[in-house]
Amino acid sequence: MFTDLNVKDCGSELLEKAATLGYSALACWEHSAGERGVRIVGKKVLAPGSLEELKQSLVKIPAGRTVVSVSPRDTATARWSAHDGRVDTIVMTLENIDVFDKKQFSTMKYYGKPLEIWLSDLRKAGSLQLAKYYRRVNLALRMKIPVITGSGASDWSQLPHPRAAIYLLTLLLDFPEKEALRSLTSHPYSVIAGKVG
Amino acid sequence: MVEEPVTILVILLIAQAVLLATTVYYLGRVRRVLRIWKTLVEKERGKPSKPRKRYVVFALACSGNPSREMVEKHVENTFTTYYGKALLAKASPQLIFMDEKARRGVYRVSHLYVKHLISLFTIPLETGECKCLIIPLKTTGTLKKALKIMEKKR
Repeated sequence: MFTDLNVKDCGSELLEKAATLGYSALACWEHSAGERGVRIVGKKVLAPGSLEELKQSLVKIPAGRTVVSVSPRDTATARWSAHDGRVDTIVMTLENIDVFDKKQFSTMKYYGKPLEIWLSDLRKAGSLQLAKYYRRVNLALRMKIPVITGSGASDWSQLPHPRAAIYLLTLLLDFPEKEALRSLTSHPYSVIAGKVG
Repeated sequence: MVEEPVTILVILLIAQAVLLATTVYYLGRVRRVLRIWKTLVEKERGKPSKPRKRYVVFALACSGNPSREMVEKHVENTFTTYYGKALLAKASPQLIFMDEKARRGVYRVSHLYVKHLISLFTIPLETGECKCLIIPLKTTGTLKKALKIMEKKR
């Protein structure tokens, strides 16, 4: 029941590889091919510059089979997206890492909002950024906020093997092994299940 | 008169118990428990555990034709980038077998660093036009078994 909540382009080749690797559901930014043994839902990642921009963007998104993620750039947007019911996950990237503090995580915990991280960011991060990433992810884990891991794959070669991804999270970010497994299975699947029923 | 059969019975029972224990020991269960217990005791005493070899069987999903050198170089570079030279030396990952046609291979690594090696398979191998995804298939304790798995999964 492996699920990837952040795939950029779901072409036919990527879907074939995903099925081979054991993925059962994907959330895609763009998808041209039909479902090939893998359940697909749409994905929208909003990176608003201000709170007003976020509100306007959320109004435009029709309710339904789309996972809405917000990558907030400032604190006000981050707090708002934590308690807005239309937002499914909040994304922590290398650009907005400073927005995530203890108060943000408390709000996310209160409203049951999961934190989303991308493996593509882990690959790009330098040692200082990785240290920041490590501290924040561990704070989220200690506060028992569900953490979801997405690959951020733009083609099939960037789609990781789930077991390899679990080991990477365990070794690089000190995820407990069970939590690493949940971040690729039950946590993202519960988001997708809410969309497709 | 009554004591003699009782003694014989006790001796027979003891012999039976010894026989049963020996059988179970050689079946491997008790031996395994003892080995685990010994390892735990040695760990507490701070004695370093004996490094054992593990064989990681992998497959390549590629858009080009990857060579053995490409895979070796990629793993070595990524291992150094993520875990450093010290761990690379300790883990000593070695590509000991690779079938370029079937796009499968076997990596040998110390048992303490199997997870380190597999975790690097999340990083795609990209050189020029060749793009590859490394898929771990199985980890074994002997090369013979690893080669058998490689043949089987073809």
